[in-house]
Amino acid sequence: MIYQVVPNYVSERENIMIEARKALVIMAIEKTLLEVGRPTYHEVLSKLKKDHNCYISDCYENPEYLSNVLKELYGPSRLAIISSIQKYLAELSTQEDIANFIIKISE
Amino acid sequence: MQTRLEKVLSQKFLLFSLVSTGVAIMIAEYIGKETAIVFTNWIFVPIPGAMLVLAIISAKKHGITGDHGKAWIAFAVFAASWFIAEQVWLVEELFYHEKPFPSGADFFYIIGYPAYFIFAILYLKPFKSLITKKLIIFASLVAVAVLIPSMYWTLESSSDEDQFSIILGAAYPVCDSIVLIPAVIGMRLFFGGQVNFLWALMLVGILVEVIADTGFQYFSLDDSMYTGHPVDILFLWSYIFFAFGIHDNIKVFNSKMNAYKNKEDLR
Repeated sequence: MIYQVVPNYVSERENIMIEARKALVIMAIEKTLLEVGRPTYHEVLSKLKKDHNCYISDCYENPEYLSNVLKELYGPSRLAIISSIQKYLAELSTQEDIANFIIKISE
Repeated sequence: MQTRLEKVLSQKFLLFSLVSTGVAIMIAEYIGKETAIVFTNWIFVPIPGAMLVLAIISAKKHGITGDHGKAWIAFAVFAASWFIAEQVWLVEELFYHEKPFPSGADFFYIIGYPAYFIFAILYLKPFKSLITKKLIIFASLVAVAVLIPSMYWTLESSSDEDQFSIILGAAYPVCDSIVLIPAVIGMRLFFGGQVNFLWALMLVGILVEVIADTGFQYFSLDDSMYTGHPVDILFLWSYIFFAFGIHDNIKVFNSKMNAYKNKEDLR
């Protein structure tokens, strides 16, 4: 019984950590967009919904959606916004999922 | 979101505005100098006024949040400053029958430039990591290239104007060239993006302003400048370019917050 609980506990803990990192990614995106301006934030939300039928929280799994929306708005200069998001996540960049997120959003 | 059709129509409306303004001034000029003076003074109420209204709408829409919010407040200050300058010019000329250059209007024109510069710097601030030294040098070279002919005409001409008027007149193209630098950078940075139209029109607006200020200085030095002179068409066009740029930017960032009132939608 104890033998079975330990792996379940680890898995649950890992899930919590993934959710926490996901929340941090969302916060990094939101903070960066709000630093640019409130209408930018709302326009990105709107375009994500309209073009990809998704929300900011979905950008954790699909960073390319955010990248596309930023490209539509700011052209190649989206890279500066992406770079700001990366800076907020720098301390977590050793985590595999965050590293994947950073690679995908920069493409 | 703005559709492609709306974009084309907006440009048609821009073209119509430019042509109709030019034709109106030329007709007033054809009727007579007095008509041109009165008509041109009054047309400087609605056109800079439209730019001011749009700037206030944009500033209100952005609020104080973020760099772009602060940028649009600075732009509203610039628009208000130039609008006041135009009205001071009108009052000086039509009501006090004084020569409007130099006058109190110049104070408001000149203080508008730092406000515009602050707008451009704040707007570009989130993208500063992409602003390379090479890009700054390129933009500065464009500004210097635009400034040289203006300075040449100013320094080569001899005139009865007093020293202060000559220096003041020459200061405008210099200020225009300084604000041209962030406009060139903005145009280059946002190439291909939706905000590029704003920066394209800002750039064209400033270029037209440089030509207008140079023309104003040139014709002032031989005493042939007056309100209603064809050079004034360029000043009006500059306001029109700015106004259409702001209008486009308002349309690009038109999403309403109330579409996300339902918290479940954000999950």
